[in-house]
Amino acid sequence: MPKTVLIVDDSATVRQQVRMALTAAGYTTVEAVDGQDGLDKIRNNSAVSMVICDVNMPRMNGIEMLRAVSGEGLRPGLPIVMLTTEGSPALIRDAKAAGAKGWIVKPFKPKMLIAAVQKLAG
Amino acid sequence: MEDIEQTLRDWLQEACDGVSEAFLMDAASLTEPQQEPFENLAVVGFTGDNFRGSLGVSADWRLLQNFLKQLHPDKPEIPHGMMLDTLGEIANQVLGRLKNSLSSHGVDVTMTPPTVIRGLRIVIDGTRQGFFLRQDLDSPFGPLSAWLDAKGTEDLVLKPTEQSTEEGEMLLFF
Repeated sequence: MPKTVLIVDDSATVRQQVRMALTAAGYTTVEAVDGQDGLDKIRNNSAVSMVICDVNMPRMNGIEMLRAVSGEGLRPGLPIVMLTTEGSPALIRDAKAAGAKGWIVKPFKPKMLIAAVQKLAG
Repeated sequence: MEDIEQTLRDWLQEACDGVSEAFLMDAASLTEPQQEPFENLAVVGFTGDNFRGSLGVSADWRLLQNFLKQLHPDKPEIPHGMMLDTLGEIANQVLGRLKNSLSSHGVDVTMTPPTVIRGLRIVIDGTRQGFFLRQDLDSPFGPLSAWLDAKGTEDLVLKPTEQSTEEGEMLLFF
């Protein structure tokens, strides 16, 4: 059965780019438009086996979503990788401390993204 | 300040070239600006302790359409809403690259989400309070133009510090 990856990004363009790469590699995808929507989908969709998440988003950003997931003890071990234009070492340290398992700076290379998903989600 | 302006100009050009490659534009830098007025615009604001302003991007609809047709081969027509979303993401990624260059030179800024507008005759004039830099690209599918409208404090310096993670790089934590 294909694994399900949750894509959290406020840009429909980026969600489509990620969806294309993942479906071509045999994964199923679910989408969320911001951190709050992502958090709700993690809470309510037990099929999600990995999350790819933007950082700068309205309503709830990606780091806040990471902290909420850790703070609520939701789905321990669920790998969350940040996919963002941000490359600042301080933000990367914040994300790692909040439980992120990886950081990819946009624009992403599909092969690299798939390699990360295969390593973390199987 | 002249050195800073030239550095910002170089970074803006590098950022536009990089994003153009990522969005399959096959674009080349132009030395002469494209004709205004434009019909769309995406703006991303940024602010930090000693540097703030906005970055705007406008692109030919054909260019956005070409990119989106490759993402959505099943769609016979690409709606304007999708093109504006893509324009917003282009602006976001151009400023993201600039932000990473600034960050690795000791200047940290926070970015807003992009605001996109569609109009009939959009002309960019800038706030005329500091740096007003423009970069134009041409492609087989029409032009793209980007502006950086920014103001720095008198103590603004660009000094290499901790290196940011670069575009396309991946870090995994274990």
